[in-house]
Amino acid sequence: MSSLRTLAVTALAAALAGCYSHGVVITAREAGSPVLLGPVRSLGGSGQRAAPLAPAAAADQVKLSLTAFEGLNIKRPIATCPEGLSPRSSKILFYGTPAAGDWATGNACALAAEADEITLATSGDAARRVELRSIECGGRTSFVPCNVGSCTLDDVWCEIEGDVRAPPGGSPARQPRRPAAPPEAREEPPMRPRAGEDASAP
Amino acid sequence: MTSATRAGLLAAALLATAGCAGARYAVRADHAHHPISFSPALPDADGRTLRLGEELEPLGSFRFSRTPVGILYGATGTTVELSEELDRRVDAARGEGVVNLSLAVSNCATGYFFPLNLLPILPGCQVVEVSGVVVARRRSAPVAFEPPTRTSAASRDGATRPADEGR
Repeated sequence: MSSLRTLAVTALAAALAGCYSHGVVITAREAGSPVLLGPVRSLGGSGQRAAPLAPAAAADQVKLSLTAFEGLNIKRPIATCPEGLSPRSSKILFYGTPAAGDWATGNACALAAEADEITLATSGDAARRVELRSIECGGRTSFVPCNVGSCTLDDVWCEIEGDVRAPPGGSPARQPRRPAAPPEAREEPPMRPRAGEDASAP
Repeated sequence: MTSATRAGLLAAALLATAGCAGARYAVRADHAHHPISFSPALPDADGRTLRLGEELEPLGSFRFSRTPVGILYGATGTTVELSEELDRRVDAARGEGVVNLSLAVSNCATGYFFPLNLLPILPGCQVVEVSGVVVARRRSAPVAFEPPTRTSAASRDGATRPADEGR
């Protein structure tokens, strides 16, 4: 009886430990273009709104990808959108990129309910700007199955809507992209002289 | 089994499968005074794209969390407004914007209290962890760096951004 109780407690602890860590991460660290949340403001304008851009032409579409990972802290990719749809449940929705540059209306991409990571990635500099109009998330928990999957305790989802914007006539002002700096260089760039400092001082 | 018993069992099953405490919410930054990007890039006033590690330098990173709460099994909606906190972080670092914004969403513990989570009035919640990097423009692009001369130094100082002052 004692060993049975130990086994039950261990199983419960393992289930809770694995499931509790589930969630969704939204990031766009691989994107080459701005992926903006909130009012579209530009740098250096003291809060000035950035110049409005038209919806991107079909040829200028940003490639958006979504990779989902599932639970028990094992980051195993289970699907990538928009290349494929998961055959599992559709609790996490990501809206793909129709030709008009507005991905709110089409190409819904469905992924499984367990722990996921949503990565918004733009391809090079093809589009100048992604403007997110809405991020809505939610979730439920229960010991009673709320969802279908390997772990039934968590149900976390996010829906993202936005527009892809580009200059008229494509991307004439596109800058050639330099190779990305290594992570350590991005995080800790060399100190540069600031205003009021003498650049030639030792 | 009588029909009343069967109906009772069915009702209990429906109640059990519906009893999932949770929350739903919109994440917004509608009143932010600084540009905020999920990617390492931000636009400047001329529409050019500036990138972290190139034209943008990091001034510091931040992380904070919000806990939206819902009842009625998560049917009630709320809004997580990030504008004020993000502006405060940028101003504190004397920066100009936020890049690499990340939202990590997960359920929190209240929904696990079975059988309380069968009650529609039990508050469900989620944890939203927000992280990002405060940035400002470099005073000169790394690849276009030239030795300081009297003229170029004066022109750079003339274009000094307010965030540089006092640091």
